[in-house]
Amino acid sequence: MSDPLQSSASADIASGRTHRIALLGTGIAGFDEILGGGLPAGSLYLIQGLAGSGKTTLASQVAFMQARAGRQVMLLTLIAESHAKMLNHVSNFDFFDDSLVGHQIQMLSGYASLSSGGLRGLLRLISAELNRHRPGMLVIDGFRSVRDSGPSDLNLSEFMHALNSLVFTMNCTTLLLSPVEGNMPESENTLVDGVIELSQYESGMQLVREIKVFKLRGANHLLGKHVFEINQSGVEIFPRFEATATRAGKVPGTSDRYVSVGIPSWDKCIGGGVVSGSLTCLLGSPGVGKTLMGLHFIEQGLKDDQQCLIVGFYESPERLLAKARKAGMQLDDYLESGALQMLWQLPLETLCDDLAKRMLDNIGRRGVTRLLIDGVDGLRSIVVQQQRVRPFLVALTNELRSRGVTTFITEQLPYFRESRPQVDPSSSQLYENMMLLEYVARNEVNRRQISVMKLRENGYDGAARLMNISDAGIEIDGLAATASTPLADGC
Amino acid sequence: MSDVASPPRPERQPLVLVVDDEVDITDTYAMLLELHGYRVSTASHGVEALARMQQEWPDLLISDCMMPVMNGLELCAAVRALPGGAQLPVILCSGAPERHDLSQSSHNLFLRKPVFFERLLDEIQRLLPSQR
Repeated sequence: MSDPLQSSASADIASGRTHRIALLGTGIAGFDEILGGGLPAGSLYLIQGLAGSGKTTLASQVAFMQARAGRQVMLLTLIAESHAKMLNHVSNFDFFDDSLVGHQIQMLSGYASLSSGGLRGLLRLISAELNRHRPGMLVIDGFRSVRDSGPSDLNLSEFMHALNSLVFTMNCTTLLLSPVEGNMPESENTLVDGVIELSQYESGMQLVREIKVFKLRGANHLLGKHVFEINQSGVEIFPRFEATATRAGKVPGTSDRYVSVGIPSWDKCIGGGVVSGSLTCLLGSPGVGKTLMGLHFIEQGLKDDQQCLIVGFYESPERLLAKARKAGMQLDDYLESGALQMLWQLPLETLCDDLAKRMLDNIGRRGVTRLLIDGVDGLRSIVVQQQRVRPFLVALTNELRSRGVTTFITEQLPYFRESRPQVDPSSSQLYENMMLLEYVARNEVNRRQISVMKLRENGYDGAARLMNISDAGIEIDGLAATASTPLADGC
Repeated sequence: MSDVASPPRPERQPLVLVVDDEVDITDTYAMLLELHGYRVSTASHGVEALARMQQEWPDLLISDCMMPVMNGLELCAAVRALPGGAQLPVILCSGAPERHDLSQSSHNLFLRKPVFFERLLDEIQRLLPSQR
């Protein structure tokens, strides 16, 4: 007699499928990015961090996102806090949806089972509830209570093994929340599939929140720390830009196409413009005309029907538009039509990874081909850890280059100086082109001059040239007189 | 999705023998199957499983393939040679089926690990329909 069951077994074997662990998207884009795509499903994770670090908010947000996606979620508390109080804490966030509670989201307390039945009693409760509700996600808040219940190390280790096996067998992704810090050699850390830590520190008077994935089995997560914010929408995580750029490993292409910088007389001096997709640094003292030159560059792009973006830190969009108008450039219509957008951000308590993301999102969404960053010191000042400044800029400039965005970046030189500017040598590695704008004394009159410090893939005349600013904008005049010397200060 | 089993009936509940050298797996299956009204006995390898069967004949056997002392395929062959063994439903499980010559085995069903409980329960209920 043939056995129909055997054929189904054969079919299963014959398919030869490789059972890769599915990744469960958390619904938080930045979180998924640092996790390498999401949490490997059906596994056990410890989310740790001291009080106020954001564990409950993060886990609640993930839970609500899962519930909204149609999965059953179970929230189990091991602390004496009431569910009403816990819900109240997260009810002001955008992700909170009261209609999901009691339907997609089941809430229960394991405190009594733990205190009366110990770890065995708690495991029985969890297995019964998983069996009853079949949730795709389980969040256990106050997991520290398990250790506080006083088990021996062996008992705790056995419990962790059993819990891990249970949630895996039930294919229930489980988050344990515990108010501890550090990658400790204890069973709560070692017998889980992933450890994620939230922390915070003060930089001056600014509070910076960080998230770090200590381990994540079965996933290619981003190493190191990443910053995050808690705002109205909940937790917003910004993967460290250098880390994502390193992973992407983009190699910029080359171009032999030259684009106008928007000042015909200067185009002539530099062989027709700058290479498309290159980065140009405009160095100069305050007020010498860097931003105005950048506006010429943007205006030319707009005239050529390109999508343009200005990222500014100090001069507001209104002031930039007024400055352009005074120099004969009408950018208002382009702003209205959307061909030009401005991303203005005071360089205060802003996260550099957030700004980089918004900048690149804008570029990607709109197909921006010309970008003015005014100026680079604004970018530098929002990188909280100074050791990150250079890698951050390397990553950003490489990304812009890879995307083929022709970029002008202004960089301010000291207002007062004794000699020619001393530029950080490493800066030259960031840019294909560097142009120096200076004040010079000529026949007892202050004049502006411009010269090329570096111009890749192009022949150029290195002589300094006089630069005039009038109602018609910037005009490059003749060669600066040899007798002219840079002023000791900007005046 | 299966419902939780109704309270134990007065008649004999089906006995499932779970064999795996990973105690977490046998304990977890036992805990979950008991919630569905099954009785569960466990063993960590084939020889131990045969000893359990001498004590009480199970209604269904679930066995891992790769185990010390006596593996799952050897256990399956040994069971089939016992009186009444040909009728015993046998489920074999492995995370690496390509390492075993399953074509020569007389098991009823093969499941590739990881085996999630929902699937396992469905298969058990399919193999033991009259005993639910």
